[in-house]
Amino acid sequence: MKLAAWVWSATDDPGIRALRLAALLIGLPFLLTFLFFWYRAFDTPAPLPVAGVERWVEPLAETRFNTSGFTSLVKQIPDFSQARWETVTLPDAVSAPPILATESAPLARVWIRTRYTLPAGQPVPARSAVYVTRIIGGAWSVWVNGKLVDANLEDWRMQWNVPLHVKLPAEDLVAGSVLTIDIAFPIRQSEGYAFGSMYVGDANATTRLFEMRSLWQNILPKATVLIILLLGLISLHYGLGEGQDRVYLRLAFAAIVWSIGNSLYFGDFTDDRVALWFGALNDSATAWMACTLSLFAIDFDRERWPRLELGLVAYAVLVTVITLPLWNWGVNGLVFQYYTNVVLTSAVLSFFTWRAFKQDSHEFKVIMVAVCSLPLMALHTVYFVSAQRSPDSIEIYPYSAFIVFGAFLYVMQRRYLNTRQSLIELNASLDQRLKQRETELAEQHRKLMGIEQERIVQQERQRIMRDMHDGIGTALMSSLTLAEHGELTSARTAAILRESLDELKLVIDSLEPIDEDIATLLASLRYRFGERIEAAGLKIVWDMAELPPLPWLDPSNALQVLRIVQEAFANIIKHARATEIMISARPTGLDTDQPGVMVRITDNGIGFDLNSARRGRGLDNLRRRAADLNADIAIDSTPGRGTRIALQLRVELPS
Amino acid sequence: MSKANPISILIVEDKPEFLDEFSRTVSSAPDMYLAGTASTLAAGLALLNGEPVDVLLVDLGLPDGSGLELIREIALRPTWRERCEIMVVSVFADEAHVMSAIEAGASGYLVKDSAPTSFLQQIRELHAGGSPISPVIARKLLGRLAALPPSLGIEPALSGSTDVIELAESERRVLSYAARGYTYDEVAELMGVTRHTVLSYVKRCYRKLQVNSKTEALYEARRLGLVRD
Repeated sequence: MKLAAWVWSATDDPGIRALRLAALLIGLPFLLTFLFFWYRAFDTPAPLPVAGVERWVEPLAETRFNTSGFTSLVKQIPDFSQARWETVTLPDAVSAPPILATESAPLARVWIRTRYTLPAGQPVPARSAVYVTRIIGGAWSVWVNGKLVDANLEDWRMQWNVPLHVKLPAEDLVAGSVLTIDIAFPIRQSEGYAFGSMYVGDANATTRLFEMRSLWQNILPKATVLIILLLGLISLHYGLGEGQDRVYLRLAFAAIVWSIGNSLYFGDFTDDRVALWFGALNDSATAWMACTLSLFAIDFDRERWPRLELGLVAYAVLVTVITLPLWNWGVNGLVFQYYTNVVLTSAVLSFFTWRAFKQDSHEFKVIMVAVCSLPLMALHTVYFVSAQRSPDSIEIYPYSAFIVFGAFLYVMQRRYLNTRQSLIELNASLDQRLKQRETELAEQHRKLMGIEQERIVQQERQRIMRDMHDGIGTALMSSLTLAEHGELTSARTAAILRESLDELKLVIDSLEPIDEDIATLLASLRYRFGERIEAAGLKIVWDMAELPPLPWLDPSNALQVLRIVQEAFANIIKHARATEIMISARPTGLDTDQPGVMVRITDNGIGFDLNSARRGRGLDNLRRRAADLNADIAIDSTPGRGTRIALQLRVELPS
Repeated sequence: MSKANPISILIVEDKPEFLDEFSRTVSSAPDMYLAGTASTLAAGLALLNGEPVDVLLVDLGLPDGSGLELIREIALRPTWRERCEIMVVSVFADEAHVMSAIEAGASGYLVKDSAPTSFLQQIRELHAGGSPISPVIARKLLGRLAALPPSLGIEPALSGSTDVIELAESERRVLSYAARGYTYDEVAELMGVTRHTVLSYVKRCYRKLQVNSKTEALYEARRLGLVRD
């Protein structure tokens, strides 16, 4: 429990956490399966491995090492009188001598014999069976009391991995009798063989052992091949879509090559021709495996090694060509390949493992260690197949791919987490910068607003000052001068003061809130001076439509408008000798893109000659003021026929 | 106007030259009677203890306070409120001053430099029902009234009927014309009603604004806990 807690806390790293979960998710079903079989194995008493085994190697004269040869061989009853039995201990493994085998090496048949005693006076099991963990050799046959019970020619070339499980004939199961069980299999004398532990007994118990072994020796490796193939295809798909990171494609190729190299778990390759080509394919797959796995691992190096990579591919191609059955180099090509594979792989992997540790790149190190585990496990397989290891042990090579893939997933997840972390940090810093910028902008805006406010106030102050100075100031000053010289009559004084007051009213009216409505502006002029105009004997005809607001009508512009109209009024009162004055304002061009307001001031007075110089200055004044408002003014008069002033204002001033 | 029933007038004005001018003008009018004058707010308030008059002319800028206080005080005295029309006199009659005077209870205002005939004419008009309204004030009233319920300040007999809407619409039109500078006579002609009706519309607008400002004041007072429901 303490250990588990320690492992749990030691693996509490963001990169490993998910991997730990995955390990738990995968490991748990395995554990449960194991416990299940373990429990079932105790259902019935477990049979003990058979002891007291004898062996006879029967020399064969002419049998050929092929399917047809073995087909007759498995049924051939030997001359047991010639047998020279010797006691052996199982598992029995005879390793191959380190010499190159030849096709013409003499054949032999190994006989393993044991005796199974059914005790008298005890119930005989309904079914009994013989079970052998593994036979590395050829097509086996099982004989009971000298009779052939079962033989397996199926896939005989590859019969190094399938456990043997054969039921004993029911008629022989008699209490008190002794059964002689022989298991025979042909071998090349030069190549060696291996024969695992043997169990004989209640079929219920042996079946469990057989199933358990099948699971680890056949079913799970098959599943592994499929899983790795699937992961390879996913990686390929991702690599093709991603386009940037070559490592996915490299892993995909390694996985596919690995799956092909391990495809011997599937199908029957007994046919001689197929076996030949399949064997060649399988053999060169090892070289390709070394090549693709190295390419994959190299990709984690900081530097690029294009020449080395090219060399690795060239090597794999070379091996493929060399091991083709076309040359009839047979097993020599294979042996050559194994040696070169070992040399090349150890050289490349050692070099890059050294580099990984030198670069102190965590990812690179993990990948290199994982990749190095693969040839080590392959070495285990070689030892295993060449019968230098107990045939009872299980081939671990198929499981090695999980290590590489696990390491890769770990690295990818670390990269993903790092990327995500840096993205989060980037976002946070962007957010912060945005906030900072916003604050700065707000501050700037506030300052600008303050400046603008100040500017407006300043402008307004200057405008009022100017108006006061030009209007009332000047009028008062000139009248003061006149008064000081005693030249001012009281009527003149009253006129000057009234003028000043009018001017002041005009300024005040221009400051009144009129909501950009020029009708109200003109109306306030009538309100101020209408009475006086009428007192001067002029009838006012007022025609003021509802008008669109003029956005530019601020106090300054309002004063200009007031002055234009006031001057027009003053001119009419002073010069026109009119009896009627008509003021009208109408919206114009409301449906067009240049809406405006037309203000007309018309009188029925005596009119004047437009070319007369005397009136010219007053008219120029009007024109100048109109131009300031970007308005068009038209003044039309004929002597004796009144005067018409038309002021065309625009809603929008061109900027 | 018969001589037997002249318009009684009070003048509260601190500048002697204006007070003299106004007094002289009023005294010269056969149909008017100057009931009294005051040149300070205190003196003006003291006058309120006497008989109510028909028209009060009041300057807003008095040396010891605002004329508005006098106007508000009148609004609190039922006998005065019933009878007295308040006219603010001012040099410029600018919008800010006039609006607060109307809200306090004034129903007219005149500009100080008006010719004496016009001056008397305006007093008569005010007494008869209403005084001219400046376009700027009309525009302001238009905006203020648009935000108020149409039935505000209308006699209970009328409120709740469709007439209220029509009435409000007529008031709106009067103000709209006034804001565009039409005289009451012109408005009466344009709307096909009598001048008197037009004046009554304007007066009602004034009253609405007063009522509203009172409502707001009351609301404010309640909110501050000065008045109980």
